[in-house]
Amino acid sequence: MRVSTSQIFDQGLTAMLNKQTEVSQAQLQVSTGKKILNPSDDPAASVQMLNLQREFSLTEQYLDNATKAENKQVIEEGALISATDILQRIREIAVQALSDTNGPDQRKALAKEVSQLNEQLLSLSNSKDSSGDYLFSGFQTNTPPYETINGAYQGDEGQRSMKIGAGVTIETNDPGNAVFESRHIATTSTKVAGTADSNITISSSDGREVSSAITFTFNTAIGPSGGYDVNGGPTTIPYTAAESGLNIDLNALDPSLPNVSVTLTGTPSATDSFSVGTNSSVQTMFKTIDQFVKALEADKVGIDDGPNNGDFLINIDASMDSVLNTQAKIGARVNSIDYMRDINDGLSFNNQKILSEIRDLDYAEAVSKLSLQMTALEAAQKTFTRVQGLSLLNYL
Amino acid sequence: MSMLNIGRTALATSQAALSTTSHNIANVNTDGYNRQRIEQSTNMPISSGGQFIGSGVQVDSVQRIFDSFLSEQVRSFTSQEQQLDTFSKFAKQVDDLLGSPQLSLSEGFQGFFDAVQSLADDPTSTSARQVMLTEADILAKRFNTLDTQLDAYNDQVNLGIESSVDDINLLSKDIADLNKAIIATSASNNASPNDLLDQRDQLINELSSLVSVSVIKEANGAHSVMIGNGQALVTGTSFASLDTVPNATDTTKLEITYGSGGINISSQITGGQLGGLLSVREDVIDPARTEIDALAAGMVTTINAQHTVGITLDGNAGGNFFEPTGALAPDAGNIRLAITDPRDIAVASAVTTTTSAANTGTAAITLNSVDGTAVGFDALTALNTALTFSYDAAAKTYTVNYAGDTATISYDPATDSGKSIDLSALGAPHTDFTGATKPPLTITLSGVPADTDSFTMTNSTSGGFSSVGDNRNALALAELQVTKVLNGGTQTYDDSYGKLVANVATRTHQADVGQQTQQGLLDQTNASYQSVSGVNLDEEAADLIKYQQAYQAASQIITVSNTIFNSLINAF
Repeated sequence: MRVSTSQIFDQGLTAMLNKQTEVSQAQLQVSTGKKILNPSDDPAASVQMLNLQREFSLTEQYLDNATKAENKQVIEEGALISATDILQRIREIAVQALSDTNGPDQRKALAKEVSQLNEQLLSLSNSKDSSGDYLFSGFQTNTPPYETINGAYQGDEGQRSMKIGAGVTIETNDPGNAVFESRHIATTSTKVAGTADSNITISSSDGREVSSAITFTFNTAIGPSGGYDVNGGPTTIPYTAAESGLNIDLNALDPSLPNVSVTLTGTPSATDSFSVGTNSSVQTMFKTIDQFVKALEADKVGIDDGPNNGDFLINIDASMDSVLNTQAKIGARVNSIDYMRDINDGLSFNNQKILSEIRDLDYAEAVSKLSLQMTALEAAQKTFTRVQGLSLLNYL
Repeated sequence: MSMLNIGRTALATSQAALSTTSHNIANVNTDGYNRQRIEQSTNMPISSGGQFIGSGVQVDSVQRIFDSFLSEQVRSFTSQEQQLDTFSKFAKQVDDLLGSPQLSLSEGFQGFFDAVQSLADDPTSTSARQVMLTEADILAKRFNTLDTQLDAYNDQVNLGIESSVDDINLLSKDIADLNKAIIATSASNNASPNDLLDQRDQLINELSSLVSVSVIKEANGAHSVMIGNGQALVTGTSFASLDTVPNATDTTKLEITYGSGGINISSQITGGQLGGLLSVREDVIDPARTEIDALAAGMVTTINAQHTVGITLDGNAGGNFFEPTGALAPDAGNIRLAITDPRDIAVASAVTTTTSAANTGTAAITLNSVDGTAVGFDALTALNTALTFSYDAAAKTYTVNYAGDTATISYDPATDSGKSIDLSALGAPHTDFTGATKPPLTITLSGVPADTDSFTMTNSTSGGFSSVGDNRNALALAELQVTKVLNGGTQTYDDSYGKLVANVATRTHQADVGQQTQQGLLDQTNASYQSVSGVNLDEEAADLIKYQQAYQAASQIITVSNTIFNSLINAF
């Protein structure tokens, strides 16, 4: 084929320019360490990269959140462990104080200690986290949940959540009223009608609520010299003044009655009637403990001495259960956080791996390719000068 | 005498051949030059004594070696290659822009939503709030920068169109002038004006690199040139001008008009730089501008909708988070942060749920979302009359009271726990509120309620706002990152941006590959064309030797004839 002179020149030039472009592209790849420099280099991989990068950053954010969430649980758990310790100590003292071996003076001394422990407990309920926010006041993190021993809860029921995985949120706080408040039970006996000469008092109770009040009505027709009709009969308790101090286990008398024992005292008359029931309401453990302190101070520790603390051990156990319950919840949350963290760590690693496979350069391959292209460029340059030197005009 | 004459014609012919060869050598680097060759033939022989005696040589014509089929092919491939080349150059810029980590929106979204989550982690932290504002500002600026850049590319396209149109007009005029010269010289000389033809072919080639043309050869030697659907740029010796006008609906775009009538022919123009500019604008720049604007508008609407249902740190209703500059619809170019005080970020939810202290069951009511889309919705006044729920265990229903209106929600703890219920659209098995005002809430019921257990939902700000630790609205904002809120609920923000990047990348890649293919075709055709018409210096050197020898030999004829003539003279 006939070849024109400018064609020879152009071909040589184009070859050199093409090789140069390839060398510069390869050099850019090697210097940036990236296989894909622009999305158009590989549109499909670029979009995949965008998605992977987003997933990767999201997962990193979830991991970050998980760490923060766990820290918050740890702070809250610390406060609750201390609270449990204090409650345990109060219970020990209570058992000691309730024992009949103690006189009024010892009880006063013990009351002082319980009172101090109660103050510590109150200050624990007002714990703050590292940013100065109250732990136990729900969303109202600037408001102390309990200002005084007998004060009401100032916070709300809000529970903050954090995202620790795709579609997975975890609570990071417990409102104080779910931690420091529990059902307070007081079993009481009230005289409904009759003279002041007789009385029925509660001697023990299993702490369960008496769902419907039990009525005791004195009936002279019972037994040899009268007795009480329970709930209008047919269960009866024969009783005379001579038996004053008689202790009756109601459940043993009639299995349908609750586990409550009553003591009958005094001289009953025909119209006397009593009602035994339960006062049950939610109250703070500080108030429960404070009431106990007051009872100790007054040396009135009988089961239905007012304010009623006969069920104190039961009530303090309920308070402790509430704290332990919250601790269990925290434990469960920490487990979920760890579990999600494992999942996210795995995801993050995989994403990074795939991302690296798509995006990152294989240096060995790239460098050998670069040197090959440089050789090709050199060859193109050498042949260009050699071919350009050939001309018949040189011989004229 | 005849010998001298023959010698003379031989000398003249060799001289012409040497001139032509020299002309070829001289123009070895001239663009558009086609090598020339002389066609020579014997002169009419003289009849003498019944024999024909040759009377030398004559130059018939100086021919240019030219293949019009190849020339057309070169022209057509040039148009296509130039179109793709221009397209690819611009598309690459857009591709670079969208893919660069410094400008990419996907990095902007990530930064912003990371900041939102950090704020949700720590709702009272002023620094977390400040970081969120900064990231939001960066995100808005990324939109603005992308918009400015895309506008700049649009301006470059406009400039390109203007200069292409100017070039086309100049070339049309020159071609018309050359037509005139060619008609005149061919008529007077009866020979082909090779160099003028070369020049005209070269101008038409240049024209075809600007726009795809079709050429019609007139009988008088003129070439008429058409573009588009047959709009004649050059007809014989006259030419028509192109002009540019701003698009009627979008004045930032220039359109091309033809002739004095000003007919818009943009849509008919294909090929060449002009075709490339128009197609890259239509296929890459315009869609990118539209999609970025739509993404910006969608983002602003959805983020604002969520932000306005929340409550700020000071207990005010959350205002707009992003806003357009001026009273315009939001687009990528005009959005900016509407909030400057970090306390004005609405992190808290407008609704507080209170569980009655008397409840004995384990049921809970949690708020899923507040719908702020109703006209006149105000997070401060929404629900300022309390919404109360009380459970009837026998009927397994919650009775809901709202501003004196009653509805019932059927709730069986065994099967319905965790169900989400939209209070503004209660249907069977529930009974709806009778009035027109319905609470704009979606709630989730869970757990086992006891009979008469009750709940109250009130506005968080009623009786003074103190839920500063509430992060529910921030969580809802963060959730927008992974929720398909755009395009009728089919795309997340990132999906939408990813689609745009993919579109541009694919177009760019296509144009790149197409350009390389066309370049290959053009190179091949050029090679064929050059192998026919191009000057080869070795060939010309050989010709020089050949014609030099012929010239020397012809000189010898003159010498010999002189000697013979002298011999004859001396005989006398």
